[in-house]
Amino acid sequence: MSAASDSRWALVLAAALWPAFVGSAAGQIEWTDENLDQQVFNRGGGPGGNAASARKELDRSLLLNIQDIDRVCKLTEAQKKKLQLAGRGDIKRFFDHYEAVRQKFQRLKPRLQGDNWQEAWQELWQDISPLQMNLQSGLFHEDSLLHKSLRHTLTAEQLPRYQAQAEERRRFHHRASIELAVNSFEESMPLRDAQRQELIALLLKELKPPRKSGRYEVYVVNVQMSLLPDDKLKPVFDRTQWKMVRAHLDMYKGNVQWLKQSGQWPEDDEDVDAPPADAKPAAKRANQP
Amino acid sequence: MNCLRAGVLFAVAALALLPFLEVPAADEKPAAPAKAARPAQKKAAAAAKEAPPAPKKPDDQDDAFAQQFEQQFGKQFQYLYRTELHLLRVVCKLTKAQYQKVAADGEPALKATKQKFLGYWRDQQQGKWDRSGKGQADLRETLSAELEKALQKTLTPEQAAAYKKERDLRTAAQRRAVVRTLIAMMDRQLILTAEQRDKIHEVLDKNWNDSWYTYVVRFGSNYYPEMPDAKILPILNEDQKTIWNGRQKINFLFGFHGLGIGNVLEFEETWDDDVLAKPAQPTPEKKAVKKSKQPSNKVEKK
Repeated sequence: MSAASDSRWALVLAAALWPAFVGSAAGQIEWTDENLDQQVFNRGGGPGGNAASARKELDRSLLLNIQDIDRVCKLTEAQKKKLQLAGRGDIKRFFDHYEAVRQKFQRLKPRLQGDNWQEAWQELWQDISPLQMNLQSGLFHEDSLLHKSLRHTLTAEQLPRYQAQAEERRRFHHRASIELAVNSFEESMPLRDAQRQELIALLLKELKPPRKSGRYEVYVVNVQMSLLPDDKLKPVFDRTQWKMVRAHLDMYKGNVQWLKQSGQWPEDDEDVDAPPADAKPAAKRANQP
Repeated sequence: MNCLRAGVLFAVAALALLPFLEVPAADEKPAAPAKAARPAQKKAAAAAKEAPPAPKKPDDQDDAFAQQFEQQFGKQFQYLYRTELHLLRVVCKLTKAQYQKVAADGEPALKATKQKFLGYWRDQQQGKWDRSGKGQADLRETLSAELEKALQKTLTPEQAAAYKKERDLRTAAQRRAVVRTLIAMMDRQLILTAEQRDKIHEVLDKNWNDSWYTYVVRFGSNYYPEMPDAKILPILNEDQKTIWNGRQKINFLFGFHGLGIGNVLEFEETWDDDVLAKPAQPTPEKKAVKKSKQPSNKVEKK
């Protein structure tokens, strides 16, 4: 892992451990419900610092998502209601997960107040982290009920219009991640503009966008780039650069499994927006880890 | 108030992990000095033989900081310098002899860059956070600007112009990437229309702040820097405004962001003839033609 990603991981870790610092400053760690809520809801500019404000914001976000679909598809009232129902299902699913974590937090409180609180905190953190990630990347991603319900809600005429808009958005985000990854990469090895453009074009052609938009998009780009065959990447660089480039990229290898497990890794050969008549993608998805 | 509290708490946590963030890997090999710098080092070594100095004790706190800085980041600065020299070599089509001259003449630029970042680092070690974004400068950009100054008499006007052009193109590419990333971050939460994205692009481009690069690259699109909300809000609808107003925007960075210094890997210039050739190499005849077309160089004339 590069120092850049090290830094990011360290910051994540810092956030994860901040109660420890608060506690050590105070001489005693206080584990309150507010403390948990701040971890879940108030990270990285996420919605409000508690469940109620987060719920309000997620409702607004659902509204914005439906407005966005409506703009290109001209939804009927019945369609809007159906999509709202699906979106509310996503919100409910999120809060069910939150509730489970909250209950676990209550169960862990005695251990959190003991000498080995770090172990208990790590255990809890494993559940908090996906909640944070979900909030930051948005609940209404490709695996969401809202997204899945589109296939059954939109007409054959509306669906391609929606797909075109979604694809345009995906391309915008993907390009942003690739350009940022290339610029970060130049901290290690500066490129001539011609090389930079060549590399960006290559990555746009060869890499797939992550399944979920979010803070790991650039990381997904780096890992995918590290797995590209040498014969595709090598022509972009001169020989002196290549030695360093290979060493740089090798540090990203070996993170695919984690990205797959966290739902970030792009799917292989699957059209997630395939029309409902095509049963193949659904079967494939069921087999995912 | 909540934002401030959250920021301070986060800063405390992040600061506690600073050593992890910035200390170079322990197993890194010691840096070989840049080839062009070796004569100077030989002179220094000869002088050292004549009068071996006693182990230097830091005279004051500043010296101690300087020593610690050198110990932690000295190698990375050397690698940074070499990679930038490599770009110069390619862009200005330097021969080995020319390269060595450029590397030696550029040493003051490296020194100036280190001094600048030592200052930022010392301030931050002493808890002096600069909210203006100073201290969050782009390390490579700082070095290349210093190099441009240091090499004014070394490079031909054509070479200097070629390097300047690459620097400008790099800055433009960074800016494009950061603006696009900020819009993508906003879009994830505000579900912008294509028209809104275009308008926000224009606003961010016109109100560009150099420190945004640091925020976006360092924090991996997790945190918003302070942005020109007065110009952004009129582009958003009411629901988007409510969400956007609830976003945390951080107006300071914590920790030492000698941007990307930890990312610089070991780099050694190589001098086999085809080093700049790509795998699809031109035929020897074509190469000969290319070489003969290379511009004459001021360094050689000297």
